[in-house]
Amino acid sequence: MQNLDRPLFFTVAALLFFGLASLYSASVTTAIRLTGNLNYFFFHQLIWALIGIGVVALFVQLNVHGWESLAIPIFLLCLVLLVAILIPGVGVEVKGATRWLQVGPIRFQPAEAAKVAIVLLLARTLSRHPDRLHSFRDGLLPQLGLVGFVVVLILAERDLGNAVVITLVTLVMLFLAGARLRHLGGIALGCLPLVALAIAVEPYRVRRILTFLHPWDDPTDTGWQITQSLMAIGSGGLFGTGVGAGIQKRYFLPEAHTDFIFAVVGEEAGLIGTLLLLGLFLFLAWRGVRIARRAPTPFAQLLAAGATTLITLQALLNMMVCTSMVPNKGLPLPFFSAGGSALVVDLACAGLLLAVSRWVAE
Amino acid sequence: MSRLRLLFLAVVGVVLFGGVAARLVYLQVIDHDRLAARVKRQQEEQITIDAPRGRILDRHGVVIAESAEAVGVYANPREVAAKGATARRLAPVLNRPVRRIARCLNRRGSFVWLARRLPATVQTAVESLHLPGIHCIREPGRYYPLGETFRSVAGLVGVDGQELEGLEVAYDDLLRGEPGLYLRRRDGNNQAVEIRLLRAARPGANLHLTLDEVVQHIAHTALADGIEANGARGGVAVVLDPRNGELLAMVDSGAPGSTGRRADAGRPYRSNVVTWTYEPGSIFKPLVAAALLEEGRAVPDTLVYGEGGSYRVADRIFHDAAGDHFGWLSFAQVLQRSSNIGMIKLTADLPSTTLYERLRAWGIGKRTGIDYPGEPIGTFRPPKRWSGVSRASVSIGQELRVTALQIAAFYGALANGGTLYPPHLTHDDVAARTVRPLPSPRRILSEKTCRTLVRILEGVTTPKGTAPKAAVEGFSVAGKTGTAQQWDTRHHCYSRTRFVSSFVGMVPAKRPRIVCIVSLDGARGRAYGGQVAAPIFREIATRTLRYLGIQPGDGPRLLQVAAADRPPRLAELSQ
Repeated sequence: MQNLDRPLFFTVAALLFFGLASLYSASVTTAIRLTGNLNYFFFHQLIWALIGIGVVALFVQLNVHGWESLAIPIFLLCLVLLVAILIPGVGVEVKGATRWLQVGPIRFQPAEAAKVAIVLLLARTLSRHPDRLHSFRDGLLPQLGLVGFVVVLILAERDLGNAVVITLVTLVMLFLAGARLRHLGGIALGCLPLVALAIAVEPYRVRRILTFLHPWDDPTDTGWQITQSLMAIGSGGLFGTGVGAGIQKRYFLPEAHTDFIFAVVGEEAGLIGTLLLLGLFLFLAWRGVRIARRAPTPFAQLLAAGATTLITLQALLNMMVCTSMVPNKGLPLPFFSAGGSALVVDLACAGLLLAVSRWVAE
Repeated sequence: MSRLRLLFLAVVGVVLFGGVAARLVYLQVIDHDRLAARVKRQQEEQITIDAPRGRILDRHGVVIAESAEAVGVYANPREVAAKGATARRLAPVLNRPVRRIARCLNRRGSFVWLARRLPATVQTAVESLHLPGIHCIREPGRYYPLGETFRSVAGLVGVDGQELEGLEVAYDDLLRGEPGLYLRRRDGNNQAVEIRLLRAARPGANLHLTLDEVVQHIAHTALADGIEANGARGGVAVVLDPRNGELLAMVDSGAPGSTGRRADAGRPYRSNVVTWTYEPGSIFKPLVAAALLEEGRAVPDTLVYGEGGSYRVADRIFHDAAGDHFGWLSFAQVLQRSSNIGMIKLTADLPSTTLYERLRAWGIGKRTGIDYPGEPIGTFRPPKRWSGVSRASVSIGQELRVTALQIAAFYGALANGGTLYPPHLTHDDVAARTVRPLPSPRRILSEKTCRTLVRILEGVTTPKGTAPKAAVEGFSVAGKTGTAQQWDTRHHCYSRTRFVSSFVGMVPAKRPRIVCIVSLDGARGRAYGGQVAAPIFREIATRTLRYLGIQPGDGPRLLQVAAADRPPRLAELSQ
């Protein structure tokens, strides 16, 4: 605990606690329907949380320089896993998407790990040769090539949410590392046709965008999920129905325990709860920025900024999906949504931030 | 790392957080009411649950109809894998054919009734079979413990509690009570999350009838036996208290008035006493005689010549009953021996409008106003539509159709000294409160006319009259027979083979306590009212008088029946 950024530590602890509590309330109905055991998702999440806490403890012990040397091996390992998953018979298919690797009882999503791996990799390569960044061909293109390859692999798993997150995090890190705005603008423009293509090849993504624009046109079919989410949040009012007392999670709101858990919080805890949650993420972001600013080396600065961006960006995007501010992409809410890989990765990011904060204090 | 760029990103982040916060305030505060209303609409519904229906009781509190919890069994065919085996195992429990259950189980959809209104004990039997997809639900059931005896009077309640026929319809407002109102909250799977009472149910009130279970049973048994003995299609019988119009018994049996076509097999839960109209024949003669007496056109000793048994009016030749070739008869003898020709000739001078208006005033061609649904007015054409033979026909009870209740009500007035009471099944205050109010009693005959006519009609049941078989030992009975040819709609003439055989009478003749009418449709052979209906009347009258404790001899003595002191039950009245 010594030298850690305590406010950040307690913020993460609070998010983990509220996340587990919300998950318990939000997942009961689905747990009973799927397994007959109302604690099913909660226990799984609890086990993953313990693993995640172990990861945090481990990361905090490691020297930041150690991370710098591990960045490339970790990235290569993730690359191998991402490729392996596409080999028929290796990946596990759930709901039409092949995103998981199964080892014994543990089911793991390499795309989640890839997010941290990319942040580590970019922090290392961008901090090593900051001057090269001014050149498009020598500086940006190799980075973009690596990241682009990963994004294509993830899109091949039909995982648009993580592809978007990785792209955005990459742009943010390039921006922070000093890439020319001219280049970044060019990349952004270059991404547009790719995004258009990604949307065009999957018809359901077109529907999602149309639904986002007019959710109340078809509230019983395509607009069901988003309108149920808005109704859940809106009906919560100021104080909510009370934790556990929500009805929307009972077969009205699909994915209540994963991507739309924020709507359950909105219904049960009201504006008080949603603003508290929003405040915790904002506070986490502020602490992250503070650590990044004070970090002694460029690598540590970029690492802290990247990890902060990763968590904050996912939280913002998820809450914006639930409140119908952006189209649905299928993103979990960090620390809240059911899903072991995501929770461990979220905690790993927090662990990296804390590790940097420790070094800041030294 | 550029500090400036980091600051720029921090500002972007704060703006985004602010945007989400503003959106949340909009959704959860400004738009809260609309969204909460939408949630309410999809989660909440109001459901009504019927109140326990009131009981129908006879005049001494014996239960005629009551509600008790029953069980409905339904299936979700999608959950039933082994349909054949399930049907075979259910069949004996539900007491339904295997094939019918199998047919239900093969339907599409997720809900199908297999059986309804079974005794509550069936539920445990069904549940002990542990059949997937087969479910029980509690529902209200209606039971009629006295069965056939009161079937057509009580009527019927449908499977979902809606009234269908009979008194159940007439007094539905009273019996139904007020349903309970509940708020049901459901989840997305339509499972109840919460059920809250909004308004408690008000149980239905009990309905006390004037009918007497014992008299009803006596009449029902006698009528059913008489119909069987005479091979009749059906018939009706009524016992009423002439002092107030209360019906003590109102029974029907078989299908009187049916033509044998399937379409008019009748409605088994609607009383033919109320709905069946028929040509009354000679039981109508005392009404005409009363008109003659009231108009001063005849006295008991007025003489009339019988024309030897046949008499022409306009284009029709009227006859007296086969074997009757009367010479001179007194007015009294015309009634006692039921001479058609005597009646026609006595009425010949009475203006048609006078006759018509008298009879109308006495309830012919009008509803009696009984508190039972579906009462017809009968048929009674006004004089301007009469032909040359119509007055003659009406004087002997033809060219018009009546209900047994119309005739019984008139004889009731005759019996009580001239006041016409509407026949009714319940006490007046109940009727007035829930159904239409009963017509007020009104005087229609002078006491002198009544006395005179009743004395004449006492002669009908003597050996010299047409109905010695209606005589009740120890009592004097005043009454009248009727053997009415029925109009043959196929051949457009009066049938020579189909008759309505009736007897209507009052006893004890001095101060009548009961008026009873018995009418049978389509009795075999020589279906004279005196042969067919009179014995049924005697059976009913004898047993009812004994049950009511009315002593023969020195006039009637009222048996006082306290509320707690029930009269003897049927079983105690050994024959």
